[in-house]
Amino acid sequence: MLFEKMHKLNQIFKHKSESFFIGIFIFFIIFYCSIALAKNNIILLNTVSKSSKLIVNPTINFQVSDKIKEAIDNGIRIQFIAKAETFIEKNWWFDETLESQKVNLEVYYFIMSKLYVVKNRDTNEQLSFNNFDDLWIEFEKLINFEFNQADNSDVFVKCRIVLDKGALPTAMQLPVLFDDDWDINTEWFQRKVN
Amino acid sequence: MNKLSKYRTIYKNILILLLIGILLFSLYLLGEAVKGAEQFNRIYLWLFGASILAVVILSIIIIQRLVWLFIKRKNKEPGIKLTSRMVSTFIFLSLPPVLIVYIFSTQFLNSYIDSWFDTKTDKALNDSLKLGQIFLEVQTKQALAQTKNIAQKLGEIDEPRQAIYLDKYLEESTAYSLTLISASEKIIYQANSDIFDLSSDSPPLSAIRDARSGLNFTRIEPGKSGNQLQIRTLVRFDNELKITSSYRFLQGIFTINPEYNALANSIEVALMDYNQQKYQREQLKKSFSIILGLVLLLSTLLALIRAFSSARNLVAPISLLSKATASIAIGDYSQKVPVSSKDEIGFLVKSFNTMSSQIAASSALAHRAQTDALSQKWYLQNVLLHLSSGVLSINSEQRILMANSAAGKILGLQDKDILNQNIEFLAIKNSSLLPLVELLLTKLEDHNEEWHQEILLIDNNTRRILVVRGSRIPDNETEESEGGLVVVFDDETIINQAQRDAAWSEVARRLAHEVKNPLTPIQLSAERLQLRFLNKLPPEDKDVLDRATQTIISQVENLKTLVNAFSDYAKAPELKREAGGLNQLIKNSVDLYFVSNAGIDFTLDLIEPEPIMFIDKVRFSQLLTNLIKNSQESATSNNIKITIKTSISKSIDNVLILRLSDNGPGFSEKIMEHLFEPYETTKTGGSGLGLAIVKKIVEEHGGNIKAYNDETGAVIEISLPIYKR
Repeated sequence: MLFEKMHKLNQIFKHKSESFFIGIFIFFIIFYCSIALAKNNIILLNTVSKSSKLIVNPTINFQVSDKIKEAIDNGIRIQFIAKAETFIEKNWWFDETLESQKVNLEVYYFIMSKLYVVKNRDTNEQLSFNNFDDLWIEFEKLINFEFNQADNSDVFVKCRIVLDKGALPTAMQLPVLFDDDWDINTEWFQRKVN
Repeated sequence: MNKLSKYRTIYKNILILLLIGILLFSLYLLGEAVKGAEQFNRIYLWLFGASILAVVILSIIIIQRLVWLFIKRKNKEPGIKLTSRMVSTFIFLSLPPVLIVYIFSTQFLNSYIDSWFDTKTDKALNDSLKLGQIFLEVQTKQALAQTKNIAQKLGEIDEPRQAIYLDKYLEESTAYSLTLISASEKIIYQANSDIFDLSSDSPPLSAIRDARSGLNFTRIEPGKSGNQLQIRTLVRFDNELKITSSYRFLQGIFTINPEYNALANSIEVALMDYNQQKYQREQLKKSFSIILGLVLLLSTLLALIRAFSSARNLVAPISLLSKATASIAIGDYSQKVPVSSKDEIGFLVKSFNTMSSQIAASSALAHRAQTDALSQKWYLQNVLLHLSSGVLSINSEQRILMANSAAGKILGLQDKDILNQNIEFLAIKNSSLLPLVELLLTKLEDHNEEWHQEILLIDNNTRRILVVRGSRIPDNETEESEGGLVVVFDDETIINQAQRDAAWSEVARRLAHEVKNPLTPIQLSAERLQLRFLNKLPPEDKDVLDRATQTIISQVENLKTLVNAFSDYAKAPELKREAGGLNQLIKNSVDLYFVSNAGIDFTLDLIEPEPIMFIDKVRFSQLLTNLIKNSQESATSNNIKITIKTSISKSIDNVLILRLSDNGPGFSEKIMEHLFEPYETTKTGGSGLGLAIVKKIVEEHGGNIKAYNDETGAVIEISLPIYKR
């Protein structure tokens, strides 16, 4: 009886293994998303219209763990990606993205003069700080998005900042994957463009 | 193996090989990525995930095969034990070296990584950093001194013209750029050594804060390009020409000599790299251990898959051979095992196929021979069944191996199973067969090839004659190869009796013919002698003649009576049969005797209603008279009791039993054997033809007669067929 059941299970398992793996994969994604609730967040999106451009600058409440500071102190360069999009909301469907921009930032420690440096990798603009905490206060100064003004009045803008784990040294990538101390991504913050 | 399953196997193997290839490639890339290759850094996690997924898929394939193995093992399929053993052997052979390599590789790798970070290197790098910092500090001080000097000079110039002098002071100094900043932190003017560099470089807030509070700000910082070091200075200066308090900031950016810059940069990069590696030491160890673990897993899983496929490939023909052998064992010789290889197993399969073909051919021949033997056996059994002679086959251990139905009938053991019994069993079940058993035992002992003997069996006063013919069976012709006898016997009693009857009839006929003819002339001659010479002879001779002729005449009369009796026996008158009952005939005969012989006490027990018989009443009256007369004459006392009883036979259908018994001395043992033969009598003066005639009349009516003694006297029992209309 038991063997018959096992045999049946084996048959089912054989045929359904593909679906089984997809199920497991989806489960892990959901599980990962649920534990990855962001501690950092964007608290404000400043928008300024300047001629035909829309200048977007986020205000970020950033808290960085001691593990990250330790890594930076030990010469690890940490890269961030600030993403922003303008879009129009659609009911019961995907939003229509109008424009999408990215700002690549890098934070590192300059040991020769004991400075913490944040650098816009796109413009090479950089800020140096003697104090680690000061860096995160002025971190947002290097994040400026410039969008084209849209005619539509229902345009939204959203922004988020994520730690680029793929840019970390290879040996670190796996350990930080499920480490909460390294989970400093913000959620999307959106507001309507006036 | 058909084409479809062959393609499916190839397809499966290709898939597994592809999976293994991808896994190996992923592991190679993983190794490269961990070593720090930039191009693989971005895909590291994907590679790792892919490797894990591949390992998981391989594990599932193996689990599925293990479950398959387990189920097959429980079902006790042929060859599965060998498969299990081979898989176990493969695992035990492959695991130890892999584990040893893994353990030593991990230890070696860990110690190798640790060796990167010795204290000497650490100290040397820190010392070089300190040296660089001291050098840069000197440079910084010089830069600050220059900035302060220029700021002092600017403070002596009225504010609107300060910007004009800034370019001049820039040329006089080693600064790359000088920036004039208002108290409200607005850049008033920036003088650059590179006239094409139009970018403005604002000081950081902390620098403004320090400078505003009267502290001079200096620091060495990376340039815009990243590799270039620069010294930033910021000083506050007051305008001495103004009465009201008014101040501005002067920022100076000084580049480092490219030669020193390269050295400082080299120290910076080396130290940061060193620190980075040091920081990642444990993570590096873990990563390499994980990759090695993956390699170990892959090796083990590959060994397992290989073990399974090798075991299955090796065992498949053996399993097929096993199945085919089982089929042959149950008589299916059509099984052919496909030859899938040219190695020893292929040779074995070929040999098996040849052997099975030969067995099939031999089996067909054997089957044909068996069928022939069986048909011959059936034929023999059929012959034996229809044979009136009894046939027995006895082995040397006195066991009956074969007996036909006639044997059972003749021996009176038709309801007994005599096969495989000792021949003494015959005598146990039927004591009258003792002479036969003794004869057979004797013949088993001596070694006559063929013999022939007649034996007499006596059972309840019934005598039977068996003619027994025997033949010795050669030793190698019996099933047990023990030799023995085959015995054929016939009940010759009836034949013997018939022959005797025929002989007696012939004797009687001849006697009647030869004796009767001269009797009349003798009688006539004696009467003539008496008539002619009686009165002519003297008285003394007359008396002699008279007595002599009287004797001749009376003896001739006696002889005539005797001859007539023989004549009757030899040539009975033609039967005049008619339907009717026996009861009246019996009563008439009894009445006739009762009148003439009053001393006889008759008891009649006649069946009512009487069955109709088809008989010659005259002959039957003669039969009854003869029997009653026989009883009367054999009586030794005057109190004669005769009982006549009729009944329906219980053992044979449509047969009437007529039983006549008396209270006489019974039949003598001496004459019992020839009781119904002529001239067998114990009575003085009897012709000895009474019972012979009775028997003849009974037989003429299709009946049987038997005689025996019971506790009161002699019994004659006659069986007669009842008339069927």
